[in-house]
Amino acid sequence: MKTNLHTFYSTLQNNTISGAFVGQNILTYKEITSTNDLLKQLVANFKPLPEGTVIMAEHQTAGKGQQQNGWHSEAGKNLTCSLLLYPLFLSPQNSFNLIAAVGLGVIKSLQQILGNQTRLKWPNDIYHGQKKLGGILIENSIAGNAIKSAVVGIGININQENFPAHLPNPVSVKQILSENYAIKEVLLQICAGIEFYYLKLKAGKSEEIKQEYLDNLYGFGRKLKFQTKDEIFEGEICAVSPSGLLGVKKENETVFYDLKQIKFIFN
Amino acid sequence: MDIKQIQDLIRFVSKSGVNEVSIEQQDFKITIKTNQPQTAIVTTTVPAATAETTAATPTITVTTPVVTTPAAEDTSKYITIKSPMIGTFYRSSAPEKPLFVNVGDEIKSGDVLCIIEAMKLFNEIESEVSGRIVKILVENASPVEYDQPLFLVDPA
Repeated sequence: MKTNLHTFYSTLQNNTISGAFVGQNILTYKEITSTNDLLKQLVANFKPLPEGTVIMAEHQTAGKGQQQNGWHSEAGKNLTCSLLLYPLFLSPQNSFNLIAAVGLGVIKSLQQILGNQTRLKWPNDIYHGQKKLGGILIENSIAGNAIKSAVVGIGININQENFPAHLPNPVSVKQILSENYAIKEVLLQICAGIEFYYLKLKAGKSEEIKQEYLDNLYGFGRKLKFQTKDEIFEGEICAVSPSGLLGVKKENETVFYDLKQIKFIFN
Repeated sequence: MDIKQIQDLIRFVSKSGVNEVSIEQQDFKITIKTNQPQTAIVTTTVPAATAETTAATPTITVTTPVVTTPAAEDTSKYITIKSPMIGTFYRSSAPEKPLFVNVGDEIKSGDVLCIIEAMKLFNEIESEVSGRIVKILVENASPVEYDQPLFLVDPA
């Protein structure tokens, strides 16, 4: 680990940072447990680590958000990366805005490759049609009323074609396009997308971001089936609250749900 | 009801094995709870005319299984660390991982105290003070509101 960190630090110093910042420093590792964990360690050890620093793993052995599904991505076939932001301008209470901005950056970039069927599934999964293409997992470090740093972990299935049978509905870029796609290419597009929406958030345009988030949300304004602990019902996603709760209109009433309270039912 | 009677009552309730006992008299109401962590909360309700002056809400810590002196704890010198957001409070980064902090631990500014999870966004809450953890006010994996007190810290 130590040698890794030192190599990393010298690489950083040799890089020059131009106008764009997200993805100006990309560090690629053959195999690590979790890109989020490594990036958090780097933030703690090398201050100040430039905003926009990206860590990419060819093989991530203990990625977050995958483990509970008992699934490890095939080595070298998918995008597993983490990037660093310092959203000091954002109050922790408004951190859903960060989820929305990052999610939009990812989804708008992917739509350029895959078309408009690629959507965000509330709150921050990446879907193509009714199939899961990837996910985003953000870890903030908060002191007082400031978000000191945000480590944004992104996992997207790129060239993997065989998935464990117990996964409900996986899909990869290759399965959609019927051809291999360069992982680094996707990463660079996503970095540009995240930077665009992050700067928009920083410029105070959170209302615009919220509207765009809704417009790119899977099932927004359509009748969908949902399950709660009491019932299965048909409803329409009509809003997302400031803290990120999902507003579903059932008959004439809108109810806001937390993550654990509602499930999407796919056909 | 005097202090002695309250003490006796707390002792009685903590031995009885019940979780909660409430007794209400004309101008007096007492609720004793013994669920984890074992605490007893004594509240007094004063007649409406003097409601403005209600200030007596002593919190009594009951150490398992024996009762300590039910005098109001002086918390004024302690610093309260509050939740910066709505979410779910976690004392470790994963169920099998060690707790970030325990009561009695010495902490310094920058140490991670807990995680507040909201919408799959994991927020590590760092301490801005150095000192000793006196009390953890929220149960692991329970929901917290914005500004809800989480920890009492005795500053160094």
